[in-house]
Amino acid sequence: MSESLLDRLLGRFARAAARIRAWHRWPYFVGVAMIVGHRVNMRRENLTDTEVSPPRPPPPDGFDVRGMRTADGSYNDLAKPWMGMTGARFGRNMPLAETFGERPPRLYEPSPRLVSNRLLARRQFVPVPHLNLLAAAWIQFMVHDWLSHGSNDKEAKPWDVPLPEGDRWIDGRMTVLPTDPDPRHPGDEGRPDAYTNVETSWWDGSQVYGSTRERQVLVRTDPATGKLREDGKLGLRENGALPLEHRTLRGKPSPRLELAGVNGNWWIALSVLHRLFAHEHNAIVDRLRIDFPDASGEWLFQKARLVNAALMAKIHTVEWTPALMNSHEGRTVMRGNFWGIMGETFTHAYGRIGSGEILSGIPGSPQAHHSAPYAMTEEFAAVYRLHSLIPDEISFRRHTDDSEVVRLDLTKVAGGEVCDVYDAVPFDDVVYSLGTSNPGALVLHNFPNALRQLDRLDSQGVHFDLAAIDILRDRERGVPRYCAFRRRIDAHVPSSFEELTDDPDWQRELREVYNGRIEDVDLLVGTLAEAKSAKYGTPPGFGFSDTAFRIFILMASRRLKSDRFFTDDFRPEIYTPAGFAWVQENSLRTVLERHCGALRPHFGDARNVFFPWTRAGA
Amino acid sequence: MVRTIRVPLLVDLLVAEEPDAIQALAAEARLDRGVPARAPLVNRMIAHRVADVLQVEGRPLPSVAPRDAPGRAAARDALETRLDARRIDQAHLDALAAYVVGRGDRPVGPLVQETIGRLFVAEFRATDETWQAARLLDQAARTLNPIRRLVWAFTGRVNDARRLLARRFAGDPAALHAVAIAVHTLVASFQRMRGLAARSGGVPRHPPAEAASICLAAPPRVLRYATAPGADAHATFRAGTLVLLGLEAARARTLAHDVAFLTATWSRCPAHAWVPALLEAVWQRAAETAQP
Repeated sequence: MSESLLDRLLGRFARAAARIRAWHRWPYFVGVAMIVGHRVNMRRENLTDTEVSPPRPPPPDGFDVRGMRTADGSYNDLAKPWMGMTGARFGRNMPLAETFGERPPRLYEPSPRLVSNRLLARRQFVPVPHLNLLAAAWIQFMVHDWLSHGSNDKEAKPWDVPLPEGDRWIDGRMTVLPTDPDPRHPGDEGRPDAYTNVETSWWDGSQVYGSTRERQVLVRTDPATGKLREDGKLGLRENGALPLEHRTLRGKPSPRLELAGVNGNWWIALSVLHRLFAHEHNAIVDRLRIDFPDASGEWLFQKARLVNAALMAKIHTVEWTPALMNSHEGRTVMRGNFWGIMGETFTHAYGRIGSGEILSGIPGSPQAHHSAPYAMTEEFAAVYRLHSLIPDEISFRRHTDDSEVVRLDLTKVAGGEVCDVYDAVPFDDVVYSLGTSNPGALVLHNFPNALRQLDRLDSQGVHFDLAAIDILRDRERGVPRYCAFRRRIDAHVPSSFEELTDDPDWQRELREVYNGRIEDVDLLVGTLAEAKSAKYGTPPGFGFSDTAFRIFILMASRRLKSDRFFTDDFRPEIYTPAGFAWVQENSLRTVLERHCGALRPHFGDARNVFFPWTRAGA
Repeated sequence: MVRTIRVPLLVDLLVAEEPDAIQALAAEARLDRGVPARAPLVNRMIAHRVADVLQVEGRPLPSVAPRDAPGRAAARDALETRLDARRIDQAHLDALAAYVVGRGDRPVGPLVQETIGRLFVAEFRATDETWQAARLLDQAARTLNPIRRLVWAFTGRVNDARRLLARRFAGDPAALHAVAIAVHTLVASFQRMRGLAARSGGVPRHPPAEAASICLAAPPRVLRYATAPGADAHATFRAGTLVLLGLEAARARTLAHDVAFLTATWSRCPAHAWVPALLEAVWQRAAETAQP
């Protein structure tokens, strides 16, 4: 798709204006124009294809690929049916020359464990006062839809992360299995390793429905009978809870673990969202059956999936993202992705104006992949390392009077222990507790300590520090470090620790850990440090860094713009009229009203349901 | 993405910077090198300027010779065979490696020019004069500045520069192209290598093949013009359309050597194997010399 003259002008304007000051330090209209211009530039320069031998999707075998999403994500793009499917490679937001993975000794400079200990470890919980804990869970819910690197390479020699002096890590040695790279093909000579996404890259609800036909059948199975539900609904237990699988998607035993399309890294808040959207799926099926009483269960399931996935995408675009980017510019741009600058009311009343994305939003505009086939990217995965959002403990309280039922550590609300929580706390009270608690802020020294020593005491007794692994993975997969990363996204590159962050203590700590070399600062660390940089860092009102935001504005649009079901085929003929209206008329607020109606008094006054809810008695 | 710039009678350009589009256009039978018989004004000016600069004694340099120019393909194949058999002498390898690790005392331009020149003339010595001549010819082939061209035409500097280099290589068009035009992309590659080494404190750490892949520079743009109207999946062109293939931008997107050298096409560079091998050898040597 060629750039229009307006695009080119905006791109050049953004680049020129950014030399003077960052977009968020300009007046509103200039800032919005700059954000759009940055996106134009990044669509041209920050989308890199890594495929040389794409996977070959099986023939559709009579499946209506035009009107329904395949389980493995194939046939979304009908010209390149492999695009975005399970097993396709991650793309890149950087030039390939910048993405060769680091290897020892560079991989350990400085030690990821040292970074974890000195810069990431939570000293005291730092909350985000304007968000609730559902916001933290939501992004994990979405990430499970978009991407996973799958299992690590068990055959390879593990990385041996050096331990800093005095570190009392278990057994005195920290080993981490390398990421399993995609086998190299003839066209890969001279190119960096690439990795495959074991989930579909599309925004297709695969965290709920799975990325294979087998998984899809499993979540559609009635736990009471063990048989596929013939009515097109998802399987649920009699009490409305998700079925139990007792093992993870990758096959690891985990007693009482719930079943979902993706059930890794399971914890209570993630379980809540899965349960809500399983119920939402079933509600959509009920609605569609009114208009199509003779339709098969398979047809109802697939259409409801289409609608549910679009609703999740809409919630993310017009509710979650504006909550995280809580400024005029952030709200305008992210809501504009869905509704355009004409806004929701106008679009509801009069429909789209033309086919462009600026006036009436991306849904319904022509599909375009810009400069590379659609894929999730390694850099996107890297900037979505948001573990600091998670608290180390959660207080569960009754929604009737806000009294505490129980306060539990993170490890006690994870994996199969989620069911223990439900045994002690009613579902509505769990949701209320999440809606009235704050997530952690994305700043240095706020990584949950529970995740810094995870004990997976299986037969081999594996322990790991997720903070150190976050650092290691970015280096291993060739995600450029902070300064190199910023250099490639038209963002100011700090030349000193004083420019990176305004906090003198952080400056000193960073200088010590990185031996005074600003260019060595890791991407994750830089994004957390810039939270305290008024000049170049996190924009006012934002829950995450400007660095991450640049990738978001590119990829958030792309997830919609590349997907045929959000562009060319986002229409009633494909979604059904009732399904299309369901997407247009619903939101997370209505989902909560439908499935947790008793909680309405608590979130009714919230401008955004990801903002803290009103506490009982407040 | 293929960009088009069309103003009737004045200009008709296609700019391709996507690897797929470049590969398709480079293989397109209706695109060729040379000077179009009929084309918009700016197209003709550009084509004439390039043809005028990149020639020696009326013979086009290989990089601008049309597909069916007599002897072009055979000469290219012969040169390719000769290059593949040649090894860089140790002194030049050491000097280039020293430059990469920041220790060399010789300017990189003449050093690379001499390294290349000796593939053609064993006793060739690059001087500041030969290097400046190469820079001038390269600038003359690229510039759109009419005043500069006028000055050069008036002073005859471009002709002098071409004569100087032609004398050293007995008027061999392939040699002239190598030491006057191609040399600049190789210099850019070594400058990148030096930068890459500097990022890790002057110590080369990447494996040689990886370093060569990262640092290889391709010509920023090569020209073709349409001999007949046509269209493919990427672009539509008319007779006389000037097509600019942005090899460097495309190579950066894929790191594929075959894009940089158009290896799979009729116009492949005869040095497509020699250049990466040289880069790897220099990096390897640099790594050895940087060892404490």
